[in-house]
Amino acid sequence: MKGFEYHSPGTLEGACELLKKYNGKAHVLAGGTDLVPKMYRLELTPEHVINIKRIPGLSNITYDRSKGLTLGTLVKFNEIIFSKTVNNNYPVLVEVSKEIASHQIRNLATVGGNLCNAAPSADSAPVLIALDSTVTLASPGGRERSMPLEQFFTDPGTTVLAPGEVLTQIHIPPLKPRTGISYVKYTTRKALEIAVVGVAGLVQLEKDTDKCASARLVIAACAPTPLRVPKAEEILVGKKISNQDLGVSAQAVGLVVEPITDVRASDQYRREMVEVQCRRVLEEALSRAYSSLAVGV
Amino acid sequence: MKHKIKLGVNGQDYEVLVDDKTTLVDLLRDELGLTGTNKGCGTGECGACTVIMNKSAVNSCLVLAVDADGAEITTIEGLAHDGHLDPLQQAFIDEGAVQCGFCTPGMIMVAKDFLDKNLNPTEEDYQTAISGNLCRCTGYIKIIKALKKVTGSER
Amino acid sequence: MSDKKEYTNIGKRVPKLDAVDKVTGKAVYPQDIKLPGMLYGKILWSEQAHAEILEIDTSEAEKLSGVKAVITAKDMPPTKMGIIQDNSPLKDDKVRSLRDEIAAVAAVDEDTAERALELIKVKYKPLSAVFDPEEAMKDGAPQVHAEAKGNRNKLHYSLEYGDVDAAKAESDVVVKHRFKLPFVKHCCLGLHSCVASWDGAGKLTMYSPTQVPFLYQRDLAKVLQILPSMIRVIQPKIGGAFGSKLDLYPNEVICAVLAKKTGRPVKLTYTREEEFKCTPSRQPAIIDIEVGAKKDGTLTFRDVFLILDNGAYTSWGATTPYVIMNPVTSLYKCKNIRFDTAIIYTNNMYSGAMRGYGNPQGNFAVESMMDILAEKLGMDALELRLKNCNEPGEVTPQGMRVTTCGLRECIETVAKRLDWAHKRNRRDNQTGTLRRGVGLASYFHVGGGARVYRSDGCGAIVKMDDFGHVTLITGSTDIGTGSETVLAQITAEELGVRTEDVTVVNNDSAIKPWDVGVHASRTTFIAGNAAREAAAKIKARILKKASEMLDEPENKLEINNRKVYSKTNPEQVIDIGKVIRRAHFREHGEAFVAEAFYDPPTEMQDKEHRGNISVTYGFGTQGAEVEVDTETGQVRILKMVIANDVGRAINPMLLEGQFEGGLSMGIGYALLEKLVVENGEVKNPSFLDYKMPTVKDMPPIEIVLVETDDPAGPFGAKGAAEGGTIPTAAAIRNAVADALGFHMLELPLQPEKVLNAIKAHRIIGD
Repeated sequence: MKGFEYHSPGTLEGACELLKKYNGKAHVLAGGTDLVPKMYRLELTPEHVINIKRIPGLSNITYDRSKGLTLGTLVKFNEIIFSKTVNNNYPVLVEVSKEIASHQIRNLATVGGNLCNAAPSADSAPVLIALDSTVTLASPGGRERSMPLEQFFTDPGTTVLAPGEVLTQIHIPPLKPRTGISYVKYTTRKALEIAVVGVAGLVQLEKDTDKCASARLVIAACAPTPLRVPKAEEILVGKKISNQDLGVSAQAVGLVVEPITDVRASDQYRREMVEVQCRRVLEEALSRAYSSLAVGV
Repeated sequence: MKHKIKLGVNGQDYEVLVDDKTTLVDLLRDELGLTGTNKGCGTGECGACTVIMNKSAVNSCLVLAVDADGAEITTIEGLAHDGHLDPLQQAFIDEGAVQCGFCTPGMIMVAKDFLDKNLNPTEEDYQTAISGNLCRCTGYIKIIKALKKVTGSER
Repeated sequence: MSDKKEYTNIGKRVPKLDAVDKVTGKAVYPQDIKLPGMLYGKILWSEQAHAEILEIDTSEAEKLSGVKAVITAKDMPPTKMGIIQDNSPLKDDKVRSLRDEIAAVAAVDEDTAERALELIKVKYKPLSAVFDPEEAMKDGAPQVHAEAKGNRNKLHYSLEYGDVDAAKAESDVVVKHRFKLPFVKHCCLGLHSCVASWDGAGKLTMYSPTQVPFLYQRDLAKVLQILPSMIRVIQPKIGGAFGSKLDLYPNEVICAVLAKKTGRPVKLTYTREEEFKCTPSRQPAIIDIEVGAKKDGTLTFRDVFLILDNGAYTSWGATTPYVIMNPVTSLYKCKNIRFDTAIIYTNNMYSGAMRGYGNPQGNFAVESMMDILAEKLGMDALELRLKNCNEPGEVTPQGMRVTTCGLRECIETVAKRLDWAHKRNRRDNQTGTLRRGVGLASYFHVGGGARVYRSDGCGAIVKMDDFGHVTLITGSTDIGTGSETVLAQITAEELGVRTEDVTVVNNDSAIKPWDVGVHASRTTFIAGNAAREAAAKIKARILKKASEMLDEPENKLEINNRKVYSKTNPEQVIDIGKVIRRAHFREHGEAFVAEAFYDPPTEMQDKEHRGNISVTYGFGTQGAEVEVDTETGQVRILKMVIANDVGRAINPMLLEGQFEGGLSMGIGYALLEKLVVENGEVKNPSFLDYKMPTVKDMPPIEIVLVETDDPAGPFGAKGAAEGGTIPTAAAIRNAVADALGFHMLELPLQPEKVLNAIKAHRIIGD
C-alpha cells in the first residue's frame, strides 16, 4: 500500500470540504471493503483517505408507509439483513444483500459505498434502480441535491459525484400493490463471487385486472454501468404477461447489452446468460406479483 | 504519518502508534504479537484473518488500524475463558474439523459471531456462516459438523 | 499382521494431537516466527517471459534507508538447482518466464523491501517466446534452453508391453481421443514462508514448510556449497502443502543467501498473488489415448502419448509420467500397453507435485475412455469395469504385485449407492431443461510406500519414560493431515497404552531419524511400520523385565491400558511405569529407548518401468450424480459417493477428512479451477478469480471405508490419502456425459464450455 494522510472528520460539512480541497487525490473510506484491497493491490493510490464513519446521522434505516424506506449511506449490508423493517417491507433488499461477498464483509460494507464504488457488477444497484430509488448528494455549504439512482452511474468506477460531494442517503419509494421483484446474481461458484451477470426484475400488476401496469428490468455486469432496459420493459406493460412475452422481453435485453470478455466470462456467454436469467427473473417477479397480498413480495 | 490509537484486544487495553496504512491484521500480528490470526490473502477473499470487532466478525485485513481506534476486538487467543475452551473450539477438535489449521481461527471467529446472532440456524445458514472462509484441507464437511454440534442440531 | 479383534486405539476417532494449539491460535507457522534482528525478504520477478538480461542496476535500491542487502546472481554460489539442474536461484544471463527470480532484497520491514524492489532497474533484450508445448516442439520455435534441442526435456518416459499393434488389429472396438488437463494451483491457505538464520560458526537453521526435510537439506547444501551437516531444518506448522513443498525452490535458497549476506535472520513470505504466479502448479497435460476391447468387454490394449508443458525449468511435474503410467498399465486388466512422452520446455511457469502426482491426469483419460469404450461396445460401463476388475494376488504389466484389493467391492458399493440401475442412461426419459446422470471412476495408486528414490525408508525412535509416558520421534512430517496422531495411535496400540500417553516429535532434522518425505500417501504405512517396530522392541523389553518381576513366562504376559498382566493369572498385574523404574533405578540400570528403520521390501523400476515399487496398492471408486442446467451449462453435483480400500482405518475421522478434502480438490479440478495463463502471464492470480470451492460448492458426500486388512501394513492399514482426489474428475465427467449424451474431454467443465458443447450437440430442453 502506498502511504496516505488519514482524516476522520466528525461532520458532513467537514468531509465535503476535505473532498473538495483534495479533489482528485482523495477517496472516501466507508466500509473499506473495496477501497482497502484496491489500495493493497496499488490499483488506487489516494494521497488522502477520508473516513466518514464518525459522522453522525448517516447510518439510519427509516421507514414510513406513505413515504417509503430511507437508508443512510453508511448502513451495512448485515444491518439490512437483520432489519425487521426491511424484512417486512422490502424483503428483496434482504435477498440481494445476502448475495454480497461474505458475512464478514457484510459487517463492514455499506450500501452507499457499494453504490459509489460503481462497479458495473454491483449487486445492490440493479434492485435499487428497479425500485425507482433516488440518492441524495451533499456538497460543501450545506447544499444537497437528489437524483434518480438510474442517473448516478457514468462509467465503470465513476459516478456523477462532483468535487466535494458525498452520497448521504438512498430513498426507496413505497411499493405499489401487486408488485413482485426478484434478483438473480448469476455466478460460476456459489459464494465469494462477482456476478457474471446480474438481473433485477420488477413487475407490477393492475389492481383489478392481471395486466402489467409497470415493469423494470435492470442488468448488472453487461454494460459500463448498471443498465435499465426500457425496450424490454415496454414489451410487458399494458397486457397480461404470457410466457412468450417473457421470452421476447429477455431477447430484447440480449440485443441491447454490451458485455465484455474478461477472465470471468466471454461477452458471448454473458449475452446468452443475460437472456436466460432475464426470463427466469421475470418469471419469478411475475409469480411474486400474483401471489403478493398488498405490497412487496 | 503516525497516529496514536487506543483499542481493547481480548480484554486488554493497548495504546499504540500506527502508520496510516497499517491494517488491523498487521497490527495484531506484528505489533501486538497475536499471531493466532492468520493472513491468507490481504484482500478479504479468504477469511483467514477474521476477528470480532465491536461485536461483529470482520476481515481484519480490510480494516485500517487507525479506523480501529476505540474498538473492542476479540481474536482467537481471546476466545477461551479461564483455561476453558469455547464450545466452538472444542467442537472443532472433537469433530476433526482441524487439519493444517491455517483457516481454523478465522472459521471459529466468524462462526462465533454468526451463531451468536442466528439462534435457530437453518441448513443454509450454516453454509452462509462460513461461505466467506476458504479451506483447502477439509472440504468444509467436518467444519459444518462442528458448527452443528455447538448448536445442538447435529444429525 | 493383525487380528480382527477390538483395538484400544486403532479404528478410533481420535482428535488430532495438535488441534488444541490450532484452535487457540498457539500454532506457529513460519510466517509467525520472529527472531531477534530479523529482516524481511522480497523477490524481484521478471517482467519479460523470455529475454536476455542486459543489466541489473541495484544502486538506488541499496541506498534506500532500511535496506540491508540487495542480491543478484553474482551474489549466489555459481551452482545450479532443480531435479535436472536446469534452474538457478537468481537468473544471470537470461529469463525464461515471468516467474523468474532476478534479484532479492532484505530490509527492516516488508514495506521497505517492496519499495526497494521498485528501485531496481532491469534492462532486458526481449526474445521471442513460446507458450504452447506443441508450438514449442516445432522447427524454428524459440529455444528456451540452448542445450535442449527442439525444447525437448531430457526426461523421457516410454514403455511397451505385449504387442499393441497386434492387439489393436484383433480388437472389435477401438476408440481414440485427446484429453486436456489445465494448470491448477494448490491454493494452500498458508502463504509460503520460510526463515533462515546462520550462527557464528556457519551453521544454517531453516524454518521451512518443506515436506522432505532431509532431501531438502541435501539439495540446499549443494546449492549453497556447504556441507549438509551444516544445515538444520526445523518444520513449524505447515499451512497446507499438497505437494507444493516437495521440492526445493529458489525462494528458500534466496532467503538463506540474504541471511548470510546480512548476518541477520531473514523471513521471506509470498503474497497471495505470488502464490498464484510464482509457485509450482499441478502438471498440465495433453493426453492422446487409444484403447481397444473385444466384443465381450475384455480390454485389449492402451496406447498413450503424453505431451507435457514443462515450463521454463524442471521440477517434479516433469516426473508425473511415472505415476500417469500407473492407471494406464495397471488400472483394470489390460496386457498390451504403449506409453510415450514428449516433455517440452516453454516460457510458462513450471509444475511440481500435487496430490495424486499425475494420477488425476492419467486417471481422467483412462477412466473417461472406459465409459467411451463401453458406449461403443454397447455395454454397461459398470459391467465393463467389473469384467476387467483388478483382483487380489495379480501382478500388473508393470510388475506391481497386488496383494489386498477391494476394488470390486468399492465399485459395487458405489454403483449401489448411486442407484446405478435406475439412474444410469436415463436422459432420454427426462424433460425440461435439466438433465441428470450418474458416473463413476476408480483409481489405482501405491498404498505401501513408493520406491522412487533409492531409499523409501523412515526411521522411528520410541522412548518410554519412568512413568510410562511414550515419546515417538518419527522421521515423517505431519503436513496437516494428522499423521502424527495416527502414528501415536499405532505406537500406543503396540505398546498397550493409550494414544494420549504418546507424544510425537517430528519437526527437527537434528533430532529425528531419516525419512524420504511426505508423498505418495506413504506416511501411515511406512512411518507406521517403523513406529510399530520400534515400539515392539520396547514392548519386548518391558515384557522381559516384567516376566522377571512377576515370575511368569514372557509369552503369558500382555500389556493393556498401561499395565502388564498375566493372561493366565489376571491378578498378576503391574504398572508399566513400575517395571521401567525397577529396571532403571538400580545398578547397571537401563533406559527404554529403541529405534527402527523400516525400508519396505520393494524394488525400483527397471529400464522398462517394471518393478514392484510398493508393498501394496490402494484402490477405490468414486461416483457422482449430477444435474446439468442445459440453458446455462452449470453442473450441479447432487451427491458424491466414495468407497476406498484403505486396508484398515487407523483413525476413521482423520481418514474421512483426507477424503473430504481430496474430494473438494477433485471437484475444483473437475468443474471450477483453471489458472488462466496467456502469453505466460497469469490472468487470475487471486482467490476472487481463481475459483477453488467454497462451502456452498460442496455436495452431500457418502464415504465408505472398505477394509481389506493388509498383511503388510501397520494393523492392516494401507496408504489412501490421495485416493480422495484421484478419480473425482473422471467420475464427474462420466456423470455429465451420462446426463448429456456426449463426451467432454477437457477440464474444467466450466458452464460456458458445457453450454457451448450442448449447443454444438444440439440438446434442446422441452
